[in-house]
Amino acid sequence: MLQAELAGAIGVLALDVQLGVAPGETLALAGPSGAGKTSVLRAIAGLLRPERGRVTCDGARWLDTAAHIDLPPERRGCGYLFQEYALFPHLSAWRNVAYGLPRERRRERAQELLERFGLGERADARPRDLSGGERQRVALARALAREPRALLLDEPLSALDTRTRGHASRALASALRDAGVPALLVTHDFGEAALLGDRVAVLDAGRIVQEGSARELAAAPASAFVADLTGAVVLTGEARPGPDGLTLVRLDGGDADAASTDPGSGRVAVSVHPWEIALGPSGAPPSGSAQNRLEGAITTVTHVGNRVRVGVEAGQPLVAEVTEPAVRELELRAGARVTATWKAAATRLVPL
Amino acid sequence: MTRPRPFPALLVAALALALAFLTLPVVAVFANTAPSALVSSLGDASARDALRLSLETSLIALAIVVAVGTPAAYLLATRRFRGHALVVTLVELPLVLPPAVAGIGLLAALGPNGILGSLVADAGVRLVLATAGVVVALVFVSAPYYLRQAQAAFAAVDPALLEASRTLGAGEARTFARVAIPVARPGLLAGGALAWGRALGEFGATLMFAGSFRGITQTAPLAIYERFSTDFTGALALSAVLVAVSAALLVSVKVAGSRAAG
Repeated sequence: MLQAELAGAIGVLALDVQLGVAPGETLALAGPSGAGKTSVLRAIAGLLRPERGRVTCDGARWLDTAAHIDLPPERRGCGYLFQEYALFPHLSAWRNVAYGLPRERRRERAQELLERFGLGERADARPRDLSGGERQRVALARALAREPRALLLDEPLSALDTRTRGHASRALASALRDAGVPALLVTHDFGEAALLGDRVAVLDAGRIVQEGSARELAAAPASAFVADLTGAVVLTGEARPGPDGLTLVRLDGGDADAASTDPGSGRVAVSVHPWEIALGPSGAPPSGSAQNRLEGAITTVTHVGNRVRVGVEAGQPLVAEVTEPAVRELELRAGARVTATWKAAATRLVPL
Repeated sequence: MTRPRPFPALLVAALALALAFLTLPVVAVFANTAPSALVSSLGDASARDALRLSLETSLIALAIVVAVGTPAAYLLATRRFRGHALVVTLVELPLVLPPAVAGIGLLAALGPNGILGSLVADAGVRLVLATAGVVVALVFVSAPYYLRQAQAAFAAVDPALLEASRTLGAGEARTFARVAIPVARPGLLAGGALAWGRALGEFGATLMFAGSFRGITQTAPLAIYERFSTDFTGALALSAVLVAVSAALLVSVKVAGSRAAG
């Protein structure tokens, strides 16, 4: 069990974080840059000393500022995967992996690890001759080589291109499961957090603002900030009670209302997932009373795999995710006017 | 017909002028020295003594500069502390000191009547008019060249590499030896070459602090100066040898540096 309580000023950031990760569990710490994610990792690894804090792992005290205990990084035994991997440029792949290993059988141990990550053939290559994905795996093998008591991963996939990322994330997820130690991963990408984390904690300005499974966070974001991070469309407006137990929200920047099954009053953020929003021709007749409807002009059309993200300016910007056939059928292109519709039941309200 | 563009032509002209001016004296040294004169100058005992003394003292000075300068430069490159900029400026100060001032300063500090003179004498060390004094002068004038380069080389090492080493169980000393030095090696070699070159050519501070005694303190530049009034050909020949040694040094370090980096 890895437990950390960290507090105090780090630069302009006021850090105040408590977290615990069980053996074999991966906690993903998600948040925008500047939220203090990397500072949390560095403080746990001993690369940064917080003003106040306590870090324990399997009963060993790594840091306890009250008791003046602060073990240096080399005595904490955590595996740390750096954002740009920090492979030693002057050492071959196997020497990188063997760097922290005791002298006897280090070549064999390093070779075994490289083979486990499909890099047996690349043992003698220098880091500059490795691809991004290979570098990431060498760095992971190196972090695991000393059988660390906890694993810390700083944006493990962000240095990879999108093509490599899918495969790398599956390999990483299985490596994390096999390691059987507490793993703490930080990322600015909620999708990555959802993919790799058993639990996700959202960090904003040095504090954890919500913690739960990725599904829970996406379905019931505790704040507009969390909703925004999970990739939902966030609109703002003024809530008032409506008919049939619905809440109506007068959206800012227009005279349209949005209905929600959530309760709410006063200033609220309206959040809805892009895949819940359907697009139709401008002026199409309403097809149900609980449908929210907004008219607007298309600003962007972006193809993402087999989906298409369509940006619409409807008083406030929103994004809909539709299929390729829908784009062809409706002739969706920048400048075209469309109607965006989504269900009141898919509409979350969060007080601002 | 394309119109000649004036600015690129100006750049080429500037470089051509610089190249011609900077290589002319070196070319002249060799052009005026018959190969036979080169050989016969090496047959001269005093010339051999001067060269041997130059190599010995400059290598000892270089060893001292590297041994003390490498950790000092690492500290300056990796730690921020109050007065950091002042310390950097102070260790670089000898770069801009006229050699004569360096010589006077060394005498005032370490000479028989200098502020640390009695300390040096009590330790049983003789610096003035002694080979050890030459080494002291060479260390003083060459150390800043190495410190500057080494500090820049260490500052360019990605801090994440040093942190990665720590999380892999290596303490600070092992991280310094196994990661910082190998990664900074090209820069350290370049700094060593500059410092060595400066030490080989040292003249003023050595003359004032250690004197010019054949076989004891008369390094190659001092020997060249001594001959220059009486035996110009001999001075030229010795100069040619010194240029050859320095050029070989520069080339070998450049090759070693590009191997390390490449």
